[in-house]
Amino acid sequence: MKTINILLIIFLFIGLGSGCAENPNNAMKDNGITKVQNVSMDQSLSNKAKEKVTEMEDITEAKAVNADKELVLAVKIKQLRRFQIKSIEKKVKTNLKKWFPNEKIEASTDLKIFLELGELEDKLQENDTNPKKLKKELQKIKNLMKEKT
Amino acid sequence: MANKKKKNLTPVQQEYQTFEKNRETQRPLIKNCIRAFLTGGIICFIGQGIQTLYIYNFNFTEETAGNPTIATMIFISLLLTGFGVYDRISQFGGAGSAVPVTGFGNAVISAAIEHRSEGFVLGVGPNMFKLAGSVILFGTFSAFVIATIKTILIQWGGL
Amino acid sequence: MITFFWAFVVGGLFCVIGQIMFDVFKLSPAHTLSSFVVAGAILDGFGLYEPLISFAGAGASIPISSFGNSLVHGAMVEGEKHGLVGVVTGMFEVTSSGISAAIIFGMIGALIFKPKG
Repeated sequence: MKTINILLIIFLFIGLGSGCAENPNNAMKDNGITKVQNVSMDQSLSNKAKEKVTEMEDITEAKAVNADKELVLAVKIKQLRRFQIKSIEKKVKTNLKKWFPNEKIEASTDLKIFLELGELEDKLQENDTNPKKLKKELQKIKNLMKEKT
Repeated sequence: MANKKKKNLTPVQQEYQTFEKNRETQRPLIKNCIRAFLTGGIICFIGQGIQTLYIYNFNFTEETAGNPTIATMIFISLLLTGFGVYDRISQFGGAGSAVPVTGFGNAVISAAIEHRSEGFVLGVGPNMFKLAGSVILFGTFSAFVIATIKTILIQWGGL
Repeated sequence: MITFFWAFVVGGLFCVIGQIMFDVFKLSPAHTLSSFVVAGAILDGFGLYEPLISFAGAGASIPISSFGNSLVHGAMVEGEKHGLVGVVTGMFEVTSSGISAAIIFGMIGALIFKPKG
């Protein structure tokens, strides 16, 4: 009985303490994005999009990759604002359309898309991919975005 | 019997009511609530861990990771129920172990295990749904009512 | 990550509400769970449950009220496409995981485990 109580108190501290393990990136808003440089598959469009999106209120981080006039972007939102995640997503999409009217842009607030785009960004930074593979990966991410169940 | 109001109880019946109230098992509300909070919180914490695992290591998005998480939690409750551990958890946690899906799974699985001696068709089958039946019935019916109202409102008012 | 914290807190709070229903209102588990599912369905009718899931993650998708939420969701998705018929047909499209898992593992449990006492 005593061991159970001790275990529970430990769990309580882990549960409540997990709130203290804040991502250090949240504190520095300017560093919420990484500018990806790649010569053959130019990412200046993504970099510009990320810069403008992170200036929006509530957006803490953004990741984006572009290929062939197509841009896929994912954002991270402040935890307490996640209640309004749908309206923030809509705002991001309308803003992106306003800023880049000539490009096809897909935006998402989903964590998985964020992670996948992050991996793709790293690959581009190390020049570990080619335009064909990039397009395939981007298509895979877009398909993930469309999944409902 | 149904016509009698509470005030019109005979003295003997009133005496029984007070007798019953004194003998009734005391339920320390605050202590139970704290235990329920801890148990439920831990179960959901573990669920969040499993969901994060599915998002990071498998091809699930935040939206789609809910389904395998629930299935995994019920699998865990299968193990806990089969080895008799879930009973101890629910004795401690009360609602904290009944409200999460693991509690639902435990109700179904423990009923199935218990009534296996009566045969699968006549024992396991009907008894599995003793608790699950009400949950599924009221869930489905209330969802039907609400979705119907919403669909009608959308079609009429362009909501 | 902070989602873990809110999953812990919100999940715990759901269970405290359940405990109050047990102790103060003297409801049985069947009554309590059924009320939770209905409440989940109503909250999703008002569009309040999905934001809670976005905020608290598993803290809102593990309690049984998420069943009510997915039932209404499935019904609405099909209802938008096919009207009232869609409401009936679409309901279990999204919810199947919890209920089928419980049934399947219940059967497996009955096959593998022996009843105690």
